[in-house]
Amino acid sequence: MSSVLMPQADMDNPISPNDSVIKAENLTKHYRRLVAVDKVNLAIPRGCVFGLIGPNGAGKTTLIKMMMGLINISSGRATVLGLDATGDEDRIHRIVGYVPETPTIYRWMRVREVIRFCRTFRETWNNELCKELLDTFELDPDRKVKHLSKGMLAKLSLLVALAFEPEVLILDEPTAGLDAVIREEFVDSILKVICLRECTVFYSSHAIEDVERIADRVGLIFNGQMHLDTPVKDLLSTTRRIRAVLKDESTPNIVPDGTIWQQIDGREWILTVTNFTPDTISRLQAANSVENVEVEEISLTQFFKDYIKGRRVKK
Amino acid sequence: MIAEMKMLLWKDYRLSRLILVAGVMLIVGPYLMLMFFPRYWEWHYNAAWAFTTFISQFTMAFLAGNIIVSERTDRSAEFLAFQGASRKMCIASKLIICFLVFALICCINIILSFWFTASRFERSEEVLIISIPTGVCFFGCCWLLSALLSSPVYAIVFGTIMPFLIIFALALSAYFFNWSEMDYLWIWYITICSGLGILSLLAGTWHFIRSKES
Repeated sequence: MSSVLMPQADMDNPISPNDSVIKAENLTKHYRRLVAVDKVNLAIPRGCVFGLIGPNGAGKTTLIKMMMGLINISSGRATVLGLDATGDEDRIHRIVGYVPETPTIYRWMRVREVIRFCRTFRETWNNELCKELLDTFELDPDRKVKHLSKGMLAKLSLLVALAFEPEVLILDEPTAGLDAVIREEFVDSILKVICLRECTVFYSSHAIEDVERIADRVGLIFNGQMHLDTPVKDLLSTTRRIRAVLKDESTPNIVPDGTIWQQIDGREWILTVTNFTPDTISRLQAANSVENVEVEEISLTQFFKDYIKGRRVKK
Repeated sequence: MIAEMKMLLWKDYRLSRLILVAGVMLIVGPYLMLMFFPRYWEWHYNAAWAFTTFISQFTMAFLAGNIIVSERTDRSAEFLAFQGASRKMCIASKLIICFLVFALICCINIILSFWFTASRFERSEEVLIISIPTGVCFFGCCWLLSALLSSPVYAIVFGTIMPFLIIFALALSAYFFNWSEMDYLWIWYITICSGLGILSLLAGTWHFIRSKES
């Protein structure tokens, strides 16, 4: 770990290697009557890549902005590297790499001016890494920011967030609106940084396939509440889609525990079940008049869609 | 710390460059026109002096009304916020730029004014007596509104109408309370404008330091 990167955090708010790098305790934000984020608890350990997924308006950006100290917290507490998001926000901004959904870099600056500007505020700026990223992203240093395409602007935003080798990287839907090729390059760059340095990443995205690719753990936020916080492997290894054929004129009697979504299409009964075990099938067959049962693995994208659809039906 | 301040000053200078150039051109312009007159009289000179003095005030109003809010309009204030620049340093840089611009345009105006008069005419001191508190009011109100609002247009428009509202209010008071002494009216004007300008400057600075950009 760099000696410059964490001096104040070490002195004032010591956190041991086993402590959570990003922590939220009952974090709440409300705008008058609207509750944007509702008592969210999070504890992300060092070196973890945490993917945050959720539908539009779920509270992802609000949660990130609170953790970064960019907006006031209504109640609860958030810390990053042991620094409080209320009071230590300037220090958090200096040591955390942050890529917002919409890059807000000064449009009148040239790429080299943006780099010079950001370098001034980052004590751990790595010029070699910066040059390497400039080459990788094929960014022209003499080009003005206002003349960059959306993809190039996102890359520049990532460059200034990565070039000072932050210990924590927070990405708020950085690939929104980018084409598949640029998105892949973007995610590859993040993966490279994760592999080379022990970087803790908080990655919020609608591109759930990207989250599945890079995240160790996934959190699902819906209506401001954290519904899920679990390792991606565990989630996918215990979640299955079950396709059952109902016997003539019969209807499902008992829905298995852990069903997050179900649909009946003629005689076909489709269910998405979490905490799946081989017993789930035998219990399903014992409790319902079904002829044929097929079990499929599902992707994180399918899980997300089914979960949200299921919650909306419940609501 | 010094490098960061230099960078912030450079950034704020770049944000204000257009207003500075326009202000200097409008100040130099009338004197340049005088140069091309075959012979100029005292009223030509006084008109140029009055015009450039008020242009100086308007330049400062534009600068104050733009320097904070322009970063909020294009959301670059957010970018600056997550670089970790302290709010106090950011506002100090903006104030320094404003005072440097103020010093520059005052110097240009005074140098040109002296050069053109060359002791031929007497400068109208009334212009100065009115323009200084008006300028303070313009600057302070535009600064406060720039710190509060999200559009430079509103900050500049509402900031620059403030002295006119004060004149209007004083004229109404004079009418209803039968003030006959004009000097009395001007003392009130100077006091209110200066007080409001200074208070607004302090309030805008305080609000900027306390607020968050997102």
